[in-house]
Amino acid sequence: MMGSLAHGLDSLGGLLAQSPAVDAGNAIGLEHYLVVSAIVFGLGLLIIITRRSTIAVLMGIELLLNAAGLNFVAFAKYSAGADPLDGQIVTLFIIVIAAAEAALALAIALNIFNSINSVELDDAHSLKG
Amino acid sequence: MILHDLLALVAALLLLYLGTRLVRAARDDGPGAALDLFKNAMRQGLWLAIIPALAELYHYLGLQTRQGLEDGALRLLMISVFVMLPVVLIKRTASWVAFEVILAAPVAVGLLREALSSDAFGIVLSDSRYLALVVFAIIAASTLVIRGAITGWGRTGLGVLAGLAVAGAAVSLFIVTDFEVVCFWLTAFIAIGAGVALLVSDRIVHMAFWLLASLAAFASFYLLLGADFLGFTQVLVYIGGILILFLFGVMLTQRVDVPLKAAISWRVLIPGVIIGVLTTGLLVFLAGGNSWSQKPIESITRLSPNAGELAAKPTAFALGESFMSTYILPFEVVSVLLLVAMIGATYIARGKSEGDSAGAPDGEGGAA
Repeated sequence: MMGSLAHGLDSLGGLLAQSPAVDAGNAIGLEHYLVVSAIVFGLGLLIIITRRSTIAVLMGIELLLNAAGLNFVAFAKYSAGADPLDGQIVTLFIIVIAAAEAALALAIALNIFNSINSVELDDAHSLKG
Repeated sequence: MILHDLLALVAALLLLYLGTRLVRAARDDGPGAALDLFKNAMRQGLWLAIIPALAELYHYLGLQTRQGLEDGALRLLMISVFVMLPVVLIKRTASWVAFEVILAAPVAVGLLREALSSDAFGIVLSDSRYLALVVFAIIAASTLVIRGAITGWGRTGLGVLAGLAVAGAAVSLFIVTDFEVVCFWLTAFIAIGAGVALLVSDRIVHMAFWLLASLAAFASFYLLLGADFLGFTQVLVYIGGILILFLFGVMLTQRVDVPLKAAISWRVLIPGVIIGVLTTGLLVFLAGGNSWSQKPIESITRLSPNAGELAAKPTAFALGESFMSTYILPFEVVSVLLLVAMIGATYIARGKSEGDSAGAPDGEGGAA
């Protein structure tokens, strides 16, 4: 367990770190993007968990979608045997779906606001039937 | 060294700004006002950046040779920690203690690393582990500041400074000379820093603008990855469309001048934060710990001005061809989905409100 943990740390940082021995021009790799998108994903998750306002939660969801899209593009660029365009197309679809989701969700938030005069998630507990 | 030039430029601009504000306050309202401004700013922690700024400028002007600890931010962080210590001891509020802890964490890790790498010990805290610790310090700092946002003492400036301190330490540990590398680290800093600010900000409009910064950073990532069409689509659709939609949603449903309520019970919050941090940690481990099968390094496109044959090519033409051939079915499905979403959003947003609000019906059409 500890061994694999240490191994993970080593390979993570070995790829994160630009040690002087590595050619500076090739220093940014797939793992850099993956780690950044993992952190942004975590931040989005924390926003969704800790916020009460519907709109703030939606902002967290946008962060999650962006992190996922970045992963697609990064994998498509760096993976062996992958066509960079495929990842970009998937991310374009994600953007389109995110636009539709945002429009619908905000319309729902507006509707909730019109009926219970609040957009706090805790107040919208009467959604039955 | 581009990074230090940038840091020095930022430092100079910051000092200029602070000086101008102080001088203007002193000129317009007398020295008392300037003193009040200064005290107020120090109390809010927003001007603390003056300390690293001064130190960086001091170094940059060649007044003192760099030596000892790592160049750059770690050293400046240490100065900040020591300078802020009296303030913390005098104020003794939770926010100052948390601030000092956030500042001190990377310094402690850096000192530990310095000690371990000397010959007296057999162990070396490798760059890799150090970087991993810094990544987790960012997460820990954001978690700390969430608590601040919930109990009411958290300030946006505190979160920004925490992110700035940790990310600055991470970035400046390495001498960066490559264009793409500099762009990547700056963009990553903006994306993560804006995300942390989004997490701790207590006003919904501020959140919307931090989201803008984060989305812009992702557009920059796409450009860095050679996806030019995608990068500009991100700007058009996300920043030009979705963000404006969010702002409209905020304006229509919430009082923007009131800070957000964040009083979730601890029973929900503590497991939630644990889950969030654990998920992030797991993802980071999976991302960095796997050996993904990658293309040979010499066939990957680059962004440097001297990339030559490896320079990224425009993608719009090829993307259009793919949409019209390989991906024609998803393309059509998504267009139907967009139509459905448009009609549905219009219907839901107008739906009930016509009956129950007397004064508003004229404004409804414009809003929907």
